Amino acid sequence: MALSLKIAWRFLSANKNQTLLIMLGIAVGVAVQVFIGLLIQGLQKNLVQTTVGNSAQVTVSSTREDRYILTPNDVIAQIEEDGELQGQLKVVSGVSDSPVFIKLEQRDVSGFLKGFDLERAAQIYRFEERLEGNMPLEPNQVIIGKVLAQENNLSIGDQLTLTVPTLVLFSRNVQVVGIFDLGVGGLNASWIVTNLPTAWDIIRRPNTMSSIEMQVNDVFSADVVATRVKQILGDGFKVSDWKTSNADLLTALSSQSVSSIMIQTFVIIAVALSIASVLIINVVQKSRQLGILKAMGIRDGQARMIFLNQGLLLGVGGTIIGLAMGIGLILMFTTFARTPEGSPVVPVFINYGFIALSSAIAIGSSLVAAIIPARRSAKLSPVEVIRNG
Amino acid sequence: MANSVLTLEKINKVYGVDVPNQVLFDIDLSIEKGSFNAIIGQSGSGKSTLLNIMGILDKPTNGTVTINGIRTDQMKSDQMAQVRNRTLGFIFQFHYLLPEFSALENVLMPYWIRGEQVGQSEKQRAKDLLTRMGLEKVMNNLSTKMSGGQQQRTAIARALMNQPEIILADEPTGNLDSTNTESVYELLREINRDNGTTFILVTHDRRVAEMADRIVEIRDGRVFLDVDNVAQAIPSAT
Repeated sequence: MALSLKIAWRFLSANKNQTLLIMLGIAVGVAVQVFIGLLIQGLQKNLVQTTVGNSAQVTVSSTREDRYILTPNDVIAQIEEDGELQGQLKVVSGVSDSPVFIKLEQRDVSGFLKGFDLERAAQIYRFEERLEGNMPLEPNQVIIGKVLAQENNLSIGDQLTLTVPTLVLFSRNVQVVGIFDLGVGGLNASWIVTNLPTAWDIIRRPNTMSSIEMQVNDVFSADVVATRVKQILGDGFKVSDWKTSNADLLTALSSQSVSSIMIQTFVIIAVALSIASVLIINVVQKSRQLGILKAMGIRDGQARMIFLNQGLLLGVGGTIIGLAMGIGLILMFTTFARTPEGSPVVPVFINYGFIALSSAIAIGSSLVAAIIPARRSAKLSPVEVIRNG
Repeated sequence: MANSVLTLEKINKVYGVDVPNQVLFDIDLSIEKGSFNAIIGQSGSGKSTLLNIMGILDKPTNGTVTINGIRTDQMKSDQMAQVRNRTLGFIFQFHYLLPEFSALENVLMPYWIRGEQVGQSEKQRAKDLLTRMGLEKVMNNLSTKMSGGQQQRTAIARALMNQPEIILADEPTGNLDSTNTESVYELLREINRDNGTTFILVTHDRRVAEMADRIVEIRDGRVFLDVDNVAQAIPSAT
């Protein structure tokens, strides 16, 4: 063990209460940092997940007057095979949709028919997890939103007659095979979901799509992906992304992040100041020892290292205790703070990168805090101590 | 002097800037290799300051200190640290052990500072030194768990650890009783004879000084008396 580290260790362990107090100070700082950081991250992730996790994040539509994409398979292939987008796309799925009237016994209600490539769309909307009944795999089968079903007293097995407004003379009977709950009122009240052939048959536009929907691996890069898609497809297409259409949410998220970073910064500054002041006092307390060490020939650099090592040891010790406290707090929070349904109020993701970064910052600040005392110890003249006893 | 291990030339020391207080005036002194020297004087005469300047713990206001032919005023701080570690050994009035370390560790400290691996032989030397000081039973005690006399003897063992050429001691027996004082001096003389280590002792006790080869008396910051002690120069007949 290096001598300066050995001396630092002895200095700290000779004064256990003081050492423990300062370590606890660092630990509380680290715990607050980890707790607030993970909580806010969990909150934001949850919010983004609820907002865009189960919907299209990038959408391509046509600028044609009838807004149909005539060669959807080519468009999908172009996007999927683009080199720059490799690894960025989770799923690309075409949808053929149209407003429809649902003919009921007493009245007509309007709805929105969505024909999906069900296998692909399932990756975006996760119907299976949110469905009562079966998926509409066969021709003329549909599933409908929960609100639509409740308001119109519809249940699984019912027959519906759908009419496209532009084709009033033509209507088609379909069977409700499931009721879904996408968690968004508007969709639950209007969507009628079916497979592509059935949709094409009702809308009378075989092999076309109204739009192509995508989910991306990193939700925050949706705008970048959208720009690239626009570049590949060129004129004739409109590309939108969730970030552009949810600018307010993003502003809220980033101001939340900024305030979280502010809190964490001030906590770290407070921790660093307390370490610095304790170590400065420590230099005074240990000036006798430093004087004698210098008389025995310890170099100024080694004297400096004693205090840097004390900072390091305090930082590492405090950080370990603080991490245990912070992670413990967050686990307690997710265990005890639960919604009436029993799921955590804020689902927390243990972000190891963030924890590592917080630890590095705490240890780094402890080292920085030790610089002033270290410099003082290097400057201390042995004769001052020896002369003054 | 050809055989000189430490030379002071025209050493002046002034403390304070606004109210200058000169404590040493044009001191010239040359210490012979292997000699046993006592510096005596009243308290406040400047003898401790002189010793600190000899040990390059303090800098003279002007004048030069030469150790083994090298002028210390031209040394960098690390070089001075190395001289303090390898060439000089200090024994202070108030023993100054590190309270966080055991007696044995305190003795090993100068060797640790030297930056070399402590092997079995060094550990054995430290133990032998402590045994020689009669401290074999307390060598693993923290220095705070030892009596004043034991601490002082530990400090002497520590000064000897790196086998320095020169040992500077400021009232090394200042707080020992007369029996202890005598045994410590006998020990120092023994080391002086066996290893050829040069000793420079500051003391205000004339009886102690009389055991030295050379007595230098400092009065009001000047060398007042500098005599060879004839009685000591003759080796004992027994």
